[in-house]
This record gives sequence, structure tokens and C-alpha cells, in this order.
Amino acid sequence: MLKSRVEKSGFSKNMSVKKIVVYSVFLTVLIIFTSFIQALGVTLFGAIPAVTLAAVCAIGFILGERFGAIFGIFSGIILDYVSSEGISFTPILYMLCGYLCGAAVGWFLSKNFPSFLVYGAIAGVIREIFTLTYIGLFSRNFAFSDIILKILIPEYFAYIVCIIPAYFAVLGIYLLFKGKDSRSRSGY
Amino acid sequence: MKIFKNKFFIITLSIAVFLVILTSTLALMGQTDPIKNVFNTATMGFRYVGIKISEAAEGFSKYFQSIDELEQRNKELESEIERLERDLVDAQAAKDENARLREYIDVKKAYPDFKFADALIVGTQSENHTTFFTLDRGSSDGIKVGMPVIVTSGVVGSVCEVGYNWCRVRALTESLSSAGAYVSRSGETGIVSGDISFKDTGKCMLEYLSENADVEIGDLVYTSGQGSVYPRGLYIGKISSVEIDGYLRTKVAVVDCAVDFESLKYVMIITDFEAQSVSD
Repeated sequence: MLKSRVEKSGFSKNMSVKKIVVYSVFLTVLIIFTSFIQALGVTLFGAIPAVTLAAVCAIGFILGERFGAIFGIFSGIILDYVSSEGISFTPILYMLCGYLCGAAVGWFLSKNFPSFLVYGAIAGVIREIFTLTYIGLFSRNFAFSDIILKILIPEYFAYIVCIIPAYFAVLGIYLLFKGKDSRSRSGY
Repeated sequence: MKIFKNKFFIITLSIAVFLVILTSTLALMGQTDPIKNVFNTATMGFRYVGIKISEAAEGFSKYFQSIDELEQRNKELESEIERLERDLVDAQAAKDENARLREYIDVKKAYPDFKFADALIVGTQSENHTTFFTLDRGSSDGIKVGMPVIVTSGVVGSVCEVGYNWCRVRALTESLSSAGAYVSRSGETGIVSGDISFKDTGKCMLEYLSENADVEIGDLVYTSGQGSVYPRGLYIGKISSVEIDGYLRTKVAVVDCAVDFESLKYVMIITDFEAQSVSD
């Protein structure tokens, strides 16, 4: 039971420093790519897609809630450095989403792609709640219907489109390392 | 819920909240975090590239989006150009017509007693020894052989052949052409005639001047009215040289005709005048 809990959390001995560095670089590149996309002006449904959040959720889902939380804080801080101004809740948001996507595995859905879509969608809702709270705190003209239609819904659907490629990208890196680890144990 | 009572969760949440408070406080104080400065500087290159690509893509897409509009506008402009070209041709024709009619009016003013028929030179024949102009007026317009032909600047020649709706004019510079003439300054009279040696030079000769005739270079020569072909007072040209014919003991003057025979287009045929000579 302890072993399964450790395996479930993903905090196993197989997660070497090398892999942590790889995931960190992956997230940093993703953030830089996001700023590149912002400069390009590419939008989905009128909103800039939250590619990094999708990747954090995928990391949390595949590697476990602890890695989801750590990488969530890491990417949230970098995003703040790169693209945010003023007060930002990004580290908290990303940490929560990454943690929950990992912790919710096995509750009522098994660990597979459709389950990730569900957890990813819930993480998107959490993000929109944060966005709504932020606008409510700092916006003078709080037209609720406008915010829902012009900001939250486009943002949400732009994020949902990104969780699919993000999942497969993170899974690809994970399987790459997992494959190498399996060969090393078998003596290759 | 148990997951939120997890020790790891509480620690990481606390770290996240601390970081949010830290960065937000720095932002509210107007302080730029050095790390943030480094990150923004590092990503500026990517943003710059992204902007350039975005501008290029925007221009590219605008090209296709606006190509229909451009094609339509191109067609409109082409139609407009065609219309303006037609208008230009019409305007040029009107300008030429205007100039010709002004010339006609000037001649009419200069010779109020004359009757004129304007004509267009529709052809020029130039053989080895003669040059004829074909006009678009004929017997149907009352044109007869022998009628003088002039332009504003001077005498062109006379009608030598008439058809129904055409006539042929022999230029004054032709060897078979002649006209009674006088020198305006001294009143000396003579005969102006063409010569084959003056073909295409625009010159003619003033002959049958007495040996002592008072003629000089620069003198103006007009028709005298003698011979009843040309009325008196039509300008022929200016004397450019004077020679003495020792054999005939007469003076001969070369006259530069005032008319530029190379550029003639419209002429006027004098259909009626009251013949007068210099002596009258």
C-alpha cells in the first residue's frame, strides 16, 4: 500500500534530477513559446490559449500531484516574470491545477486519456473562477454578461483545445524516460 | 477533504501564496524584479520575431483578402483610363479644330472682302519635279481651277485640278507656279515663281526685277494682284538673297516662303475676291 501510494504520487527513485531538468526546460520552452504566440497575435476563439496550464495539468496527471504542484509553482513564477504585470495569482492557480489533476487520479476515473480530459476541463473551470475573481477585484466596470461571453468562454475553449496536444507531449517525454529506465533495469 | 489537509499541499500552497505576495508587492511598489528583467529581456527577441512574423502573415493574408477589391478597383481604373484617353483624343481634336478656326477667323478679319472655303489636305504627292497637295473640296463645293490657296502665314499655291469632291493644289514653290508680286518697302514689282532647284526648300524666285531695282535682303514680298489669280496683298515671304543676272541684266531675288509646306494640314481656298492690282 505504501509502495502504491509512492508510485501513485510519482515521487519515486526513478524520477532523477535529469528528468526534473528535462521537464523544467520543457515548461520554460513552452512559456517562451507562449510569449512568441502572444507576439504573433495568434488566438483561438479570440483568446490566447493557456498552453502552459494544459502542460502543468498533464504533468500532474501523468507524474503525480506533487510534481504537478511543484511544476505549477515553477511555471507560474516564470509566467509572472515573462508576461504578467501587477498582481497575479498565476503561481497559486497553476499549483492548484497541477496538484488536483494528480490527486484526483483514481477517485472515480482511472488513469487514461478521457479521464485527463475531464480533469483538465475541471482545471479550466478553476482557472476561469480565478479570472473572474481577478476581474471582479480590479475591474471598475463589472458587466458580468460581457465578461462571461467575451473573456471567460473564449478563454476556456482556447484552453480546452490545448490540453490534448499538451497531454501527448508530456506523455511522450514520460514514456521516453520510462523506456530508458526499463532498459537500464533489464541490463541494456 | 483529505487532499487539502495533505502536508505537502499546505507547504506548496504556502510557498505559492508567498511568491504571489512578493511579486505583487514589488509590482505595486513599482520595483522591477531583476529576474523578471532578465526574463523579459531574454524573451524580447522571441517576441520581436513573433511580431515580424505576424506582420508578414497579416500582409500576406491582406493580399488575398483584398485581391478581389484590388481586381475590381483595377477594372474601374482601366475603364476610367479608357474614358480619359477618349476624352483626351476628343480634346486634342477640339484643340486642333479651335486653332484652325481661329486661323480662319484671323484670315477672315485680314481679308473681309474675300470668300473662303476651308479644306483639309488629304494627300501629298511628291514626284521628282513636282509637289501637289490633294484637298477634300471639289466642284461640289464650288471650287474651280485657278483659285488661290492660302493659310494664315501666307500663300500656299493655286488649284490646278478639280474633281467632284477633291482638288489638287500646286505649291507656289513649284516650277510651273507663278504669281505677280511686289516688294512692300520699295514697291518694286516682279514675278514670283518656283524652280526645280528649290524643291523641298520652301523657296521661290522673284524675277523680272530691273537691274536697278531697289530690293534688299529682308524685304517683304506680297502678291501684286497682277494676273488675276492671286488677289493683292497676300504675303509670300521674305527676300533672303539678291543676285544680278548679267545676261538678262535683271535682278533676281530668292524669297523664303512664309508657309511651312512640310507641316500643312488645313488650308483655305479663296473662292471669290475682287481682283485688284498694285497700280490701282
